[in-house]
Amino acid sequence: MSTRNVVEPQREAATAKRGDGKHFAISTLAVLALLALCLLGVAPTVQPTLADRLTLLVLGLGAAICFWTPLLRSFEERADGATFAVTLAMFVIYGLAKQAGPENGWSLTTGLLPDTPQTISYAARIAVAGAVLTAPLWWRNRNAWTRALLAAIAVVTLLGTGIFWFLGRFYTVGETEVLDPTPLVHLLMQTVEFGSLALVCSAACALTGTRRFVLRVLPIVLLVLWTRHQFFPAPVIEEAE
Amino acid sequence: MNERLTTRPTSPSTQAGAAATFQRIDTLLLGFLILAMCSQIDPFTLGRDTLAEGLGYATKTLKVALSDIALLLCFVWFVFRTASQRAWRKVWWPPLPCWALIVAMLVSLLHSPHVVDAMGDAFNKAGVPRGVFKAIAAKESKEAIAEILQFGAYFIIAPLLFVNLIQDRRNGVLVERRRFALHVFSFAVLLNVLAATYQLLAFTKVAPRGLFGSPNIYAVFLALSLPFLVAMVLREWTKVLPPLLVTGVTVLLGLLTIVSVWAMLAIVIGILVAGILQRLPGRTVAFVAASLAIVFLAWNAQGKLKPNRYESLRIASVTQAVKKQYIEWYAALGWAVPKGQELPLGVAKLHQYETGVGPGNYQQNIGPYYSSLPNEEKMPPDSNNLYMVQAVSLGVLGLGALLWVIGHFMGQAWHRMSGVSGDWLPFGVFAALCAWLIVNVFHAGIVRGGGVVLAFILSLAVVAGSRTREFVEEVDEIQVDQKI
Repeated sequence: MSTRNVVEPQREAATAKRGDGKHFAISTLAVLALLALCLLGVAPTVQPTLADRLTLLVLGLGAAICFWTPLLRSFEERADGATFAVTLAMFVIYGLAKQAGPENGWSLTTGLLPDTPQTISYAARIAVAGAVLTAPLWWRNRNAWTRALLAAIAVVTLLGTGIFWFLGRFYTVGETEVLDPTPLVHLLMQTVEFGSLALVCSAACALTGTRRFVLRVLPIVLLVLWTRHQFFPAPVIEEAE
Repeated sequence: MNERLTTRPTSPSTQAGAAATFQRIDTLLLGFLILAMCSQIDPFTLGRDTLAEGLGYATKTLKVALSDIALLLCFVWFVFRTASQRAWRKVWWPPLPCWALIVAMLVSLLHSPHVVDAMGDAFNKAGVPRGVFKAIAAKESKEAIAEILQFGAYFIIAPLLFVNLIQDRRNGVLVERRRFALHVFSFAVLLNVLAATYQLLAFTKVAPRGLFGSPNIYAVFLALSLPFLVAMVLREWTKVLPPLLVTGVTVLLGLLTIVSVWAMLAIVIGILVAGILQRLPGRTVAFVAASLAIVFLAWNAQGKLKPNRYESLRIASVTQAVKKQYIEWYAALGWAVPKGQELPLGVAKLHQYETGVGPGNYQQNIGPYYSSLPNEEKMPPDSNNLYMVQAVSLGVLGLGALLWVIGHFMGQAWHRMSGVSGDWLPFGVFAALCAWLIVNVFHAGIVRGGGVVLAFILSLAVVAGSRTREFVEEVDEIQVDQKI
């Protein structure tokens, strides 16, 4: 135990030194992916609810108090705390970014819902691509919070898949049957999207430099998003009858 | 004038006497809290029971449990004592995951259209300033605020009290109450199983539930406490006979009176984890085998519980091919459907995978998620799946934060297993939490009573770490002559 304690920081420091430039580039890529998601959040097709706007405002003010004051230092020192804060904000922003479209385009057809292809949003593409590209960083730098969040996503997915299989033995399965697979398909898609987003957030907060940048920028992003949707709301598109 | 204002200097013996009295009060309150937390006794209820009054509608009533009162009393006294000693810097504070959970709950409340719209409507109807109170008093927000306060009590206040009272460093010297706390806890568990045994003997309609409100929450309580107590007797097998006998009787009566077969399974797994981690497989297998043999030999004596146990095991119900307990797991997945994409057969509108429908708002929202699934019968109390309940209420962020809390304390216990002390406590904590994680698939365990017991077990993970081998041999309530 004691040997591990001595050796591991040395090894970590050596690895960090060797891969500093590479890791910084990957972490910057993660930050760019998050910024792209934030940009999608201001798209004209986004229709936030009152709850969305209230959350953006409160999170923005809270982030300003935490990250524009000396409190920032304690978050800089703790990767898990910083990742928690960034993930919290990004999950809310991601809900908006998903509404940016497209309505048609890349889609996924599953065996469970063969007649209903699921369109893959721009936000999902960014999140998944971001997670794949930043894999070398988050693979070795998953903090306690990210592990717990991934565990939560996995638990819900396992329970959902398991119970669907189990109930499928007793009830008829189909979109208009007793056991509708729609929730399961959406759950599986959300698992991939939010799991990827969690990993991108983890990669963005893995290094002290990028972590500090993300934390300092976060209040601005949240308050800009709130201002956009509070004072310059997108026109409501009425569906043609 | 000056003379009047000057306080009379107190002698050292008077100060020592007062300090000893205050410490005794600390000990008494800690004991009261531990006893009270192992129950769901409700001395009074806040709010009108409009349904019972025959008004034809139900309003939210808040049952104030004995454990709530004990927690509040203990907290007020703790704040007073710590402030008077100016010892806030010496106090142990709950770790980051506990605070993160409360933050996740607050964000879940703010981000729930269900709660925010209801608050907005109430506010608009009443106008300023009455609208503020009306918004808070709306059914949805009241549920959410009550849940956040409850979780705040379980994951911030209760660990704060337990850790700082069991290892009291506020006075500059360490006052240990570990043995006292564990004895009171063992006594409280014994009291529960004795009450349940009496209920089994006098069994009419409701199955044994100890001092709790339902057989299922009693089962969750035993799933937490029995592996913990067994971890102790496994280690100190030959040293202390009375605890071995008491724990043996407690485990036996607990297994005899428990209804949920899933909880029984969780207890057995918890005990096996405790034994295997302590590298005592022989004793563990002997203990489990002896307990189960006695329970199964005494099976005929528990004939009254057969239908209840069969009910907890079987898949179908009287009216449905699969009982509602399991159907609801799938119904809950409706929450994962993104906004704007409705189910073909249903009207679920509140899709918030990330932050859920709002703390405490699970029951109000689960109905529409059933869509085309059968939803006919009523579920037995406390038979929800905790993970699905938390995912729907708080979203994956909230569930992640809850698992972070549990994982943090399990991690602490895990690291302390390899410490020099040879202490059984981290093994007990780890085993208890393993059993708790399993049993919560079938019974949601964070309710009044159950929540404080969980906080107690979590706190012991912190307490376990700071003990040395010398401490293990010490008697209760020792004062270490060493400045911290």
